[in-house]
Amino acid sequence: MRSKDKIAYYYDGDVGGVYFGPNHPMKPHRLCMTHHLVLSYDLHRKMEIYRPHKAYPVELAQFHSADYVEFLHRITPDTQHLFSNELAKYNLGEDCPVFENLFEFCQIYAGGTIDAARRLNNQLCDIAINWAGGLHHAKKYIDVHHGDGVEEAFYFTDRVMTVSFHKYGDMFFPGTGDVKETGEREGKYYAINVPLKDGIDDTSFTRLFKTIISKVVETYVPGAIVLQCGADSLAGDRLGCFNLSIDGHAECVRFVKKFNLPLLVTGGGGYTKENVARCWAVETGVLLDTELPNEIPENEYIKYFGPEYSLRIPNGHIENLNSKSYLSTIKMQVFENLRCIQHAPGVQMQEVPPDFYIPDFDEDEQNPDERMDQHTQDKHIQRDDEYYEGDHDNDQNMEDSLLIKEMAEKD
Amino acid sequence: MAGWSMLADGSALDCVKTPEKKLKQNDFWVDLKPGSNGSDIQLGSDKLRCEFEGFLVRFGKEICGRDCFRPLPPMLGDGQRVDLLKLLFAVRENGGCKVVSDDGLWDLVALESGLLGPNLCSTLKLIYIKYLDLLERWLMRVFDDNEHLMEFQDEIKDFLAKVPDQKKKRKDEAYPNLELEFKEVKSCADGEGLLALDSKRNVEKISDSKEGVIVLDGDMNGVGDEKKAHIDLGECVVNLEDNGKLFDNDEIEGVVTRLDGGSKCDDVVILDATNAEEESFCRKRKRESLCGLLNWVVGVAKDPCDPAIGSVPEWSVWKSHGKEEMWKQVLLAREAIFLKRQVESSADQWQKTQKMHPCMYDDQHGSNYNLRERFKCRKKLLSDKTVSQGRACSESSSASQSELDKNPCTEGMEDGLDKYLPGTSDLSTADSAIDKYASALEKYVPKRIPYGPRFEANVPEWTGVASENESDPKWLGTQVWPLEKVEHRYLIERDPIGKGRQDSCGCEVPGSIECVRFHIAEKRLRVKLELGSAFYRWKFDRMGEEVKISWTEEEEKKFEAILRSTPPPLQKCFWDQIFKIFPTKSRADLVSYYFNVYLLHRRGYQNRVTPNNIDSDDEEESGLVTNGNGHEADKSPNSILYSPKKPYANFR
Repeated sequence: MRSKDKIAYYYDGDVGGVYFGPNHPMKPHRLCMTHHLVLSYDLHRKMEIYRPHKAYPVELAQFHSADYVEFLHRITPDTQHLFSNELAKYNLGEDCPVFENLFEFCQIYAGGTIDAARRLNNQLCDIAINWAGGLHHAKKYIDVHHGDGVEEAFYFTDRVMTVSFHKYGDMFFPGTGDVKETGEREGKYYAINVPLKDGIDDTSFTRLFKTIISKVVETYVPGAIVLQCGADSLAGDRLGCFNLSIDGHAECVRFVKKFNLPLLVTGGGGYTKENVARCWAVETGVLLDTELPNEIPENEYIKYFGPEYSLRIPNGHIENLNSKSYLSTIKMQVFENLRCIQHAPGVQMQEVPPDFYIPDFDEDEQNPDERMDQHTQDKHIQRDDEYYEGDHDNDQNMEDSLLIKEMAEKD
Repeated sequence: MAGWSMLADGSALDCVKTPEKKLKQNDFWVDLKPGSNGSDIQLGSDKLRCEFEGFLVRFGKEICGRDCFRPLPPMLGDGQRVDLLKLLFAVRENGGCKVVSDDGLWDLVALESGLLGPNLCSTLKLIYIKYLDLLERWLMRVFDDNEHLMEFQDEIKDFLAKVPDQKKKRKDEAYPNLELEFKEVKSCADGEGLLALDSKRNVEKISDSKEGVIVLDGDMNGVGDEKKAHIDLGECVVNLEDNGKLFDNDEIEGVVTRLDGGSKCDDVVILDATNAEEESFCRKRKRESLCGLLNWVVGVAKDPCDPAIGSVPEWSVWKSHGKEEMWKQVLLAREAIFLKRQVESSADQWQKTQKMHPCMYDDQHGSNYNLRERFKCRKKLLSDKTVSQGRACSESSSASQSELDKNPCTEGMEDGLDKYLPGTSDLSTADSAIDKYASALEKYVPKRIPYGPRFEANVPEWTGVASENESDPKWLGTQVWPLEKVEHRYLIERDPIGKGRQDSCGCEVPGSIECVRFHIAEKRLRVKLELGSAFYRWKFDRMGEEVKISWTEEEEKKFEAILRSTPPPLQKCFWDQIFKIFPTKSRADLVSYYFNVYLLHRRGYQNRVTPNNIDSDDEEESGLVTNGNGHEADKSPNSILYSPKKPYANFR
């Protein structure tokens, strides 16, 4: 077995204090809970934890339009009534409320993902985790919702393959993600959509996920994988409608890890916050080859996990509307599209890591920490010698993953 | 006409694969002699295009040593298919790729290749480089250096040498076969003489126009006006299903296989290119029956009023007729084509070449199947198609017809459609017109994915290494853990990594409030000692129930009282009230108190007292479907908050 992976984990203490407002299901507080849970299991001793830089507006504007970024920067809850036109234009409002520290929140979670990707690009780690990232609807990631923003961003290129497993139908948000949407132009067949119906369970989801992802990896031979692990596919999520257990969800992470490719893991949806924390703590464990015992250790937020104080969550009650023949049809359709991809050897595509934009001004005072050399750092990381080969074939889940041909070189 | 349209559609997809198959069967290039027969092949003909594409695939494999080719035919973003052969010649005539690029002639090339649209230059160049550049280079070598000309190279040269001549002759009709005009249908020889594909297309085209409907209705013209005929037809089909017992399964399947086999017999319409053996088998056994049927359709297409066709009775008595009647066979065939898809799915036979929407394969409940439902599916599929390719022509017409009996407003639109469908229009215009028509009919129109730098992520070229400044540690995040300096000297007793909670403890009453509080405080202290400065950088000092330290008991009571007085769902006004009552506290502090103290307290209470009814969010039970005013909001399906079928109540 290959030597243990080096894991970089991104967390910013400010992110959990962000509040979208009453009645909004997104609770960044879940990130605090996740972090406490991770620490209560002492997982921090097996990884490096970084505080991400706050992405600069110029960095955000690398993808988003400058006026959009500028507007987000400027708007506050107290001034929003002055900007009703702009709010409508940028689709802000009830679903995407303007809240205090909105821009800082965006800077932190985007900065985390950017830093994580850079670290992978520079081969400073094998796996990078940013549970704050993976919010995937903004235009220009395993989640019950279709990753429409991300797909759109890469819809026309063959250098990033997007794969999304999501609920589709019944006008479920965002209403895109039909299996027929496969990319266009150069990107034709490089966007894969796996639309699912209500109530999919561990067995069928993990089987489908593994089958499709192995085929994708085999066909596309990605240079890196971005795995978005929205936890709203778990049973009992306030918005989701799948029946996945945490074990099932984590099994998908375990599976993707086994490809031994540079792996960027992000969060995403997840609207029952204690289950999100459970799920991501377990998956952090999976990425660290550490199986977590079911009894949650004491921590500040343990009351959120009562009355059982366990990692396992109750089974879902939603009828599984995904028949075997439906799933196999979807699978065949995806395979059919994958067959259309045949890489030209050595020409055109191939290696593709992105150059991230680096602001050309100096911000040293913001990051005053001196770095130790790698050797010293490593000594601080406690590693246990147990391996959990983890062939738990019990369950499965995940929502979407991007296979990024480009980032980082192949191993 | 749905059935026929699908066949024709399938054939269009298949023709790409056919030549490849032939190549394989015959081992080497046998089919690549288009120039030798001359007369029936013109540059731009469908057959030639298919063969050329087949050749390209083969060529790619030969040259690159493995499967390295791309999907054929290449399509532009707007659905136009690029005829690679035309493109190749257009570029060659203009002096080759380099010259064209250097002189900026790609626009001209686009024009000569029959492609329309703005800004095609870069796309076309890309397509050329990806698909044809290799071939061009190879040809250059072959032509320059005659040493090792193999047999098939000769043929290629032949092939390439002859075609341009024909192209000149035929310059005015780029796609004679594809763009068969409406008029031609009438002047065509009988069905045998016509390529099956062509005849199908013609039929299909007729059916697209208003008169086309008559094809199906046959002599019903005499009975009443056309509109009524539509309605009758639509209802009749439904009728046939409802009375499905009339046709037992064997019978229907018989038609299925016959149709299947028959369509395979016709050289062009090959639904499944993989079934080569079956094909020859079918050819002998089943051709006759199908020919009759096809001839009948062709006949109707040529002259709907021809007395030789016979008359179709009122729909009400259709079911009492036997299947020896031609028109009945057509109807059965049409139905069978639908049914066939069902049969396939259960038999787990995937028709590789038929790109059907998975909903077509979904489990059926009960033996009857609902054509209308299916039509809805197809319509959705259709509109999907219109986005990526403009070939939904035939399907949209059938879908729209099915809709006629329900949707009176489409009648007006049909007239509009006629305007789009002049008898002599070429296929592409008609396609796009029908696309418009179809999308006007659709309520669900899939979002068009916007294209261009404004919407897409920029994926820069990979230079081989991460850029240097990117490796600067300051762009990689600030390390918080492990601590960079040893901050304390005392030893901490550590648990093994990943240890769970121990249920036994030395407390007087294990599990009591005091016990829990004690263990949480103990853990907190350990964490604090171990984390050192990281504890503060992660703001752990401002998390958990310790947050209340800065609150007086009185303030806490006030906070709780306000929350109690406003039953969930929490309103925006609730926070306004809180902000007003605690003017000295920042909003962040108040929110922090809410999550770290209030909710935790409440949850702790629930865990002990009402373990079967817990929830950690005030909003939860109230459902998400309320807006800030407390009224039921019209949550549009476009809302992320909308979750159909989802019981909002807490169900744990």
